[in-house]
Amino acid sequence: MRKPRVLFVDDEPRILDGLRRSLRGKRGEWEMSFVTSGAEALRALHDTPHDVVVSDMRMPGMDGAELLTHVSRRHPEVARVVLSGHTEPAAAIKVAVAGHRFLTKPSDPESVVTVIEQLLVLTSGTHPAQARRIAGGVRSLPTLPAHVDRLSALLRDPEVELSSAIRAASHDVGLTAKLLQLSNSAFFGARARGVSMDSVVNAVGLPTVQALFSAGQLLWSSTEWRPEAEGHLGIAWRHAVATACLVGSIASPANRPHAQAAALLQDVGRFVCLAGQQDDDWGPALDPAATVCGGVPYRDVGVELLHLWGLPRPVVTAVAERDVPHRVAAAGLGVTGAVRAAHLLLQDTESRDPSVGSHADELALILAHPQLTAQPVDYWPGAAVEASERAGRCVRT
Amino acid sequence: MVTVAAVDPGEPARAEEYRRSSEDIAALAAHSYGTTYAGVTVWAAGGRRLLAGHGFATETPPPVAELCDRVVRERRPVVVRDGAAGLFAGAAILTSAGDPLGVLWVADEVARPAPAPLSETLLQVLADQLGLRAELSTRWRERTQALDMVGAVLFYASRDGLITDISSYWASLTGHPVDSTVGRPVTEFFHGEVVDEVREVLTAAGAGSIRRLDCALLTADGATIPVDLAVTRFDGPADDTRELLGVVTDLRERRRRELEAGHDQKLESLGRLSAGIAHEINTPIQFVGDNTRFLASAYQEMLALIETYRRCLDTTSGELAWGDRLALATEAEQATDLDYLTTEVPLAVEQSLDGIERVASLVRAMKSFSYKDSRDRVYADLNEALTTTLTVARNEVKYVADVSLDLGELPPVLCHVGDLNQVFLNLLVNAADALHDREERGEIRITTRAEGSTAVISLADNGCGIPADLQRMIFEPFFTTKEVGKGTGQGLALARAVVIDKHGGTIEVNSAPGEGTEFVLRLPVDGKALESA
Repeated sequence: MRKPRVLFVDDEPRILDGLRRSLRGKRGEWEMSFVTSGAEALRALHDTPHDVVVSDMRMPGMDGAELLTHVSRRHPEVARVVLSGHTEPAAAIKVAVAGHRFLTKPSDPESVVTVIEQLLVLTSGTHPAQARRIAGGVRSLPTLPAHVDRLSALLRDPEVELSSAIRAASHDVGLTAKLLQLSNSAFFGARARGVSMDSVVNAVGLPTVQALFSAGQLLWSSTEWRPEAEGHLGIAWRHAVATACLVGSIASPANRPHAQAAALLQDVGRFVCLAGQQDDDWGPALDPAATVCGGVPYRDVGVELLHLWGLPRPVVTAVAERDVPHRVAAAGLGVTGAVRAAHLLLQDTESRDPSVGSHADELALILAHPQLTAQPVDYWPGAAVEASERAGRCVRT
Repeated sequence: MVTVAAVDPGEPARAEEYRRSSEDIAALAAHSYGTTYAGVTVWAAGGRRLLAGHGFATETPPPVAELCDRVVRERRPVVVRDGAAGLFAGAAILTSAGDPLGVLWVADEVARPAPAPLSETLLQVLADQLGLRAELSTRWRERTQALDMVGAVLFYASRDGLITDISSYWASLTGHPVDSTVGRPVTEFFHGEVVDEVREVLTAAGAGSIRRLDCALLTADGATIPVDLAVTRFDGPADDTRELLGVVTDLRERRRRELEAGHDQKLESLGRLSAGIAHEINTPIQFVGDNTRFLASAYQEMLALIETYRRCLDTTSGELAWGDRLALATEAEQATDLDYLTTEVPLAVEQSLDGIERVASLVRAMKSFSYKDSRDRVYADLNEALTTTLTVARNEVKYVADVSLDLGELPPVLCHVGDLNQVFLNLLVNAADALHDREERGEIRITTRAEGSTAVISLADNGCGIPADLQRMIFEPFFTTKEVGKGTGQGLALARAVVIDKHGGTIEVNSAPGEGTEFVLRLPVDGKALESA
């Protein structure tokens, strides 16, 4: 196996010299190259396969956002890291759409190494390269066309209440994923204290949320949607929202934000595979029960995306293991167990996920967990129906 | 019924003056017609009242009052030879709009043949006199009221500069009572330093032209107020006590707003600069940090190497053969990659020092850029000011243009250097903006040279240029072609104010759309206004 290749791009040669020296300890593990412009970077990527590109933002000629956008189209398998000392919000939004991870200057070599090493890990056991390719090309996730108008009207309203913006964001798969991706970095304002939408929106600020939504939506036009795909995603979305509602009462308070994020993002791979990608020859089957496209499981694509975007580990694990029968541990349900429980409970409601059957025995075992015995066992089906109805209202309006 | 200022108790001094002239005219009427009584009855705020009476004291006798009502109703002189009031003749006092103000009348208990001729005409002429005076007084009041609102005082002065009339706002502005001001020389109320200039303005003011002076007024309690004094002269047969008309405008509010606008503009450019400055600092910090970490690990490796050398040199371990020692040392050198360290360590040190110097010079430039001007001007090196500004704004410019400097010998210039820095910055940022949408990198040329006792600074770009029809407007406050949020349109307005008003210099723009724009600043070296402005 070849050594991983990392490409560094910065118009300031001294930055490159400094990185070369401080990362010298890694020279045995990685092959590193250093170029001073976007054009050179694209040439290097064209000539040699790379794994990670680390780019400055503001450069003469092609800037970082432009370079990374090109990379996302031409070399989607290359992970994209931004390393920049610029702080203007407008430029940050552009790059937020184009990059996977964001580092501010100055960053110590340890942080740079940690991010690169994480990105060199491919999560899919069976289709690592394909899953990376599909997930890597994604710059933003679409909102379902039927809901774009409502969401944008809400977010463009300068008088919008913070709480309604948070509620709207926490029901949208794409916006939730993007905000969690950004909240992990000091790049976009204060680092969020938690992963609840409350703290994330508060940390990045409402204007950034609004700008991100508009910038993300620009990449999607409703004409690209196939009506069938939209219908299937509507079903998946309702299931996700219902799971997020229900998991709130299953997960322990400490796990709740992670569990709700994981529930909402559980089918993010389906969104990636079905939305607007019909040009590619691996066009997926339009079957609501389908779970693979071009041989690659949706789930692998979704997990790879969340990993690339640097979402918290418990969230990524819970999404990865949603379909794995849960073995109840004495320590607690954890994020994964809670999401799995909510997911299964909803299989008897209108918000069911058509791609999986019901797992009554497993569910009975989970519900017998001491963590949940504060409620009688027959409480849960009713709670599931209620969550399903709430999700139905949310998806319909 | 209109209420007229002159007969209204609102302005006591003026009302009293009007009452006295009414008394005089009533007396004149009584004398002319040979009647015992005469009076002026007016309709003022409180209703009908006797303003001035001749031959009796307090109020209009009832039969006379009724006749006055008739005069007003009929709007023409009325003569009654044998009525309830005996002899009566009255004429209406009218405004130019025909509104009645009151009645001038004469009366006698005894009806007797009229002294020939009992002409209504004389009475009407006298009544018209009173109408005219009331009207003049009203107009004065209207005018001065309008001026009160903008914080200005209107005054008349005689040919020799004595104040003959002044609007009542004077008292609230300066604390000098109007009564004690009238009759005193204009110059007495201005600051000692400007008295000569005020006198010059008064004597030089010509008919039909206005002379102005920026000066300071003295208040009753000894404070000064910055004012604009404007004076003009009435030519011809006008009343010579009212030969000069002057307006004194309070400039305090305007000065404060100018200060705020300048402050806003500074904050605006500071906000824009701060992001760029953060980047200019973060970049060296990044590579200085990386290099220092590298130096730390290089030191450790070198130290390990030295340990090996020491072991090789150690004679107490005598049994080690020379060849073995040599092999040990060579092996350690290879493991350390000594060649790499030998080339890279000096470079890392050099680049770190360079990075530190970059941050240090930026911080120095920021300090000198934001140099707080004292009220007084100081002699400054404008080439240095330009270089400082360029350092501070480097991040705004470096992605769009190459800057070429052609700085000639300049003598020290007496100026407010902090304000000039701000002007240079505004021009530089505008140039960078003009180059922003070009395909290839642009060029900004900064040239300085001395022309006699003038410093000439030119800042030219080869950007989009300014269309001819906009060139006149660019110096107007709040004029901007930048998108909302990018500029407030105060940059060039501030530049003009600083260069022309504050330094007596000139600023000119040469621009051709598509080719570029050049701003040329001319500043007098000694701080005295240029002649060719």
